[in-house]
Amino acid sequence: MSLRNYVIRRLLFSIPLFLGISIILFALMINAPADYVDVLRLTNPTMSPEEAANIRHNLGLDREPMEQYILWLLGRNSEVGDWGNFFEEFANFVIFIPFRFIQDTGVLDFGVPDSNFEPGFIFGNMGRSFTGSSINSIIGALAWETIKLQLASLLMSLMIGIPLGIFSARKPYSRLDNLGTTLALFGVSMPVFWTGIMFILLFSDYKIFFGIRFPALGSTSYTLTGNEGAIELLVDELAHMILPTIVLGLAGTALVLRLTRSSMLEVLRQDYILTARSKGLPERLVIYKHALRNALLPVVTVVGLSIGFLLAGAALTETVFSWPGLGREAVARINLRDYNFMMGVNMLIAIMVIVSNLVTDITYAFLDPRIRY
Amino acid sequence: MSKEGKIVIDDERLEAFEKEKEKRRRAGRIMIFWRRFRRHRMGVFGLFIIIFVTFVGVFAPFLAGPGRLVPFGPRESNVQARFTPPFSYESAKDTAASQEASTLEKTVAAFYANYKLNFINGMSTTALPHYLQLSKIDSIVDETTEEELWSSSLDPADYLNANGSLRLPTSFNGSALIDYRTGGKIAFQINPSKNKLTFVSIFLAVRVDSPESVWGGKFKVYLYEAESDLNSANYLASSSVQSYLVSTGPSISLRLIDFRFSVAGLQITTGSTYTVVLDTEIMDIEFPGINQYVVTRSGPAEMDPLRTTNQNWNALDGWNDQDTATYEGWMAYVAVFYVTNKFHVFGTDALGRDILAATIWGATSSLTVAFLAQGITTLIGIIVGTIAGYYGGFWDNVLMRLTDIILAIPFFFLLLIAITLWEQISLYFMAIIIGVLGWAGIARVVRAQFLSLRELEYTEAARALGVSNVTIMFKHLLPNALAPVIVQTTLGTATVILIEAGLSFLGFGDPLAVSWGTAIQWGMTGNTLRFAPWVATIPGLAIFVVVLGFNLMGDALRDALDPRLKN
Repeated sequence: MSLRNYVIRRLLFSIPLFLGISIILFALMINAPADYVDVLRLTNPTMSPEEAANIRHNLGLDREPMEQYILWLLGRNSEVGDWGNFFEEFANFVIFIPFRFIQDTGVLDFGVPDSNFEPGFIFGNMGRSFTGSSINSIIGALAWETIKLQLASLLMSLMIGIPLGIFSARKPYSRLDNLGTTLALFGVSMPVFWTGIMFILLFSDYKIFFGIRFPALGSTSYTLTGNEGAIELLVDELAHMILPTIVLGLAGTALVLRLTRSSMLEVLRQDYILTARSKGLPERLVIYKHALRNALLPVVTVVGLSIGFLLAGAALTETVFSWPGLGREAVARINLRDYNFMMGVNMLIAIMVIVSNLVTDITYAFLDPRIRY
Repeated sequence: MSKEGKIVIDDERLEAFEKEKEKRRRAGRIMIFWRRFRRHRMGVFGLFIIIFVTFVGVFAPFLAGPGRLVPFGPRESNVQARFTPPFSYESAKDTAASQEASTLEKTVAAFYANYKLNFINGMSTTALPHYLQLSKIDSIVDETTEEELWSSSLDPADYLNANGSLRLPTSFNGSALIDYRTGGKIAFQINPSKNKLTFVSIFLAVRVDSPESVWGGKFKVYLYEAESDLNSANYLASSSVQSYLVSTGPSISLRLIDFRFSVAGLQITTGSTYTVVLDTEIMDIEFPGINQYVVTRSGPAEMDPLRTTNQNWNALDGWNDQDTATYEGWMAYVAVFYVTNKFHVFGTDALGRDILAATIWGATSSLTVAFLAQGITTLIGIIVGTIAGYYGGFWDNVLMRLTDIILAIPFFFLLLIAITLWEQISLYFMAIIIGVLGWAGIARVVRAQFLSLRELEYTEAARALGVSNVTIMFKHLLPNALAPVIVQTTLGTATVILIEAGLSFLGFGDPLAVSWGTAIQWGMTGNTLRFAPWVATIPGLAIFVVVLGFNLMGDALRDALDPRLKN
């Protein structure tokens, strides 16, 4: 099978996967005993039952579960919040897309009427959260904060974990190896939110690092006046990233170190390494050219997975550091029972996971010529 | 061969050798495995940790909460027991330390002094924030004597005008009394010298005469312009807080309550006077032994960077080193935590809940969830993996796609969503949810093992003999596939403990159980992290140690069960 066919087959298989994920998530949420309006009534006990029913109706929560799911997936008439004359609206919407787009830019006026059709998830519109704002815009606003934190910690874990892992495997049971593996074990065992709290305490409150107070709240200072220069803003942003990145990166570093070490040890025992050594190749070449490429396969898997789950962020770390990211937002939205938002975020992540798994598998073929598709 | 290296084999040696050989031949699987396992000293250490913590968890009712041995009674009745220190206040009464403690708390001023002493003794002075230095604390010590403070009853004429509107006390010295049964209003004036005002902190002192009691109230704070009519609805901003207090002995308990105003659209003028009205409404619960409580205030104070870590910061202005000094609010300096003493070995949190007791009870909660959830996970994983791996074809396809679906959703989000399926979360629901959703990894491992095992000759032979599929799967193949499952289960238990702690930390745990995650959350509320770092530190250390134990044991098991994997 050629690579192209393999990719096409995988993508086709991911369609039922996608439907399955959305159905399971939807079924979980629709069966919850309390919905968004119940939470609203908790905060506002004076709300009358009629009012509550009205809000439910406007949000479409009083419909049959199956109907809600299809409306979420395909789209709805935004005026009646219903199927309306779905096919007609849908056809209008699709046919006039380019015209409406040009008309919106104000270059030409085609006289295309405004469409009431609100596209569903399959058109890339995650809909509106129950609190009223568009989920696409919420994610757009928060995604970068999450991504930069995740990427920085991933980078840190790779840059520290891989070299240390290689060194540990080259001299197993040496003093540095013992130190590294012990620290890695500690890193895996510490609850990440607790590590965060301890870091805040030590580096932000007690200022144990040369008396420097590391910022521990949010992603920027709230005291910014708006008159700062670009460099000042950048420094401020980077300073806020230090503590959460290190806390997140510690766990990742520990994982990468353990993975690299064990797979490197495995590879170094192989016959072809013996061959390479007996050929008289310098040790540096044996390690970095022959062994490392094969030893990094499990690390590639881990990196692929973390890229897939990138947007999920780290709910706990983000909460501890008040980081305005998607993970913290999702926790807040769960408390509100804002299920539209959770559907949107989770489906987006699921798609990213499916794609990143595919990319990881393809990368395998490049790294390991023995693998064929 | 040199003579020294030669081994002389006499009958005695030969006999001993044969005996050892026979013993080894007869040793069962488990014995052989144990021999291999105990070579890993760290693994044995991990096993020791696990056994110890399990012991603590099982016997928690006897270890924490003296005089209240209700091992497995109704959970509600255990709630209070979980908050009491493991050492009885009564039984220690004749000791010098307890006498000192009870006499020292007799007057408010003495209480402050006592507290201060404890606080300074409890941690190194260098670690103290500068504004907790002695002089600062002294400056707010109320000189009111006990008699004055407690015996005066509150006369409505003291704070109400003839027309019923609130009157400001002309000399508000930082304390006032409100009847605990009816609630009431108290007003005082503040002068913001900076243009930021987002919070007012009220410092409540409750005197408790009975050994244990729960006390609660609903507090509303209104901010008025100085000259406005305090009874009308023309307040600038308002904020309300519900608060309760668990007291564990005769003492004066202190509680700091922060009120945060929304400042959107609020113009606070520098230098003007504003009126803050505290309106209390007492919760309808029994208050044995509480006479009255006193509301005191002090200020101004610095903005505390840690106090709102968990709060929504968007409405607040932030802090940094320079900004700290310019921020102004009204808060008390004195923290309300007991540090290490005879009764509270690990100190308490702001509500007087003993941290050692919480840590002991946390072992119960965490291990209940961990063992139950991991048991369910392993069971489902083995069944799913076995069926998928042995039968292959259609069932393999269906089950593995289901696995893919579960693995494509972020596990933590999936748990958060599933947990909302219950209105009242309990430890068992948590365990079931984590267990039912977490089997995907183990199923994959088992399936991979079965894929290779089912092609082996002895499987063919069993099939040819007409052994049923179920027998082949679970009797012939499964024992051979168990090694990686055991390792996965051990490491998975560690993960479940971390997940449970994380969920409890975010407030999705069992509200009636004390979990390590919940205790860390106590350490993050309000000022606690700043004033009482031990509240968050001790339970976190407990998690760390237990998870480390499981990880050590998992690594050792991996080496012992599968020598090929040994590094």
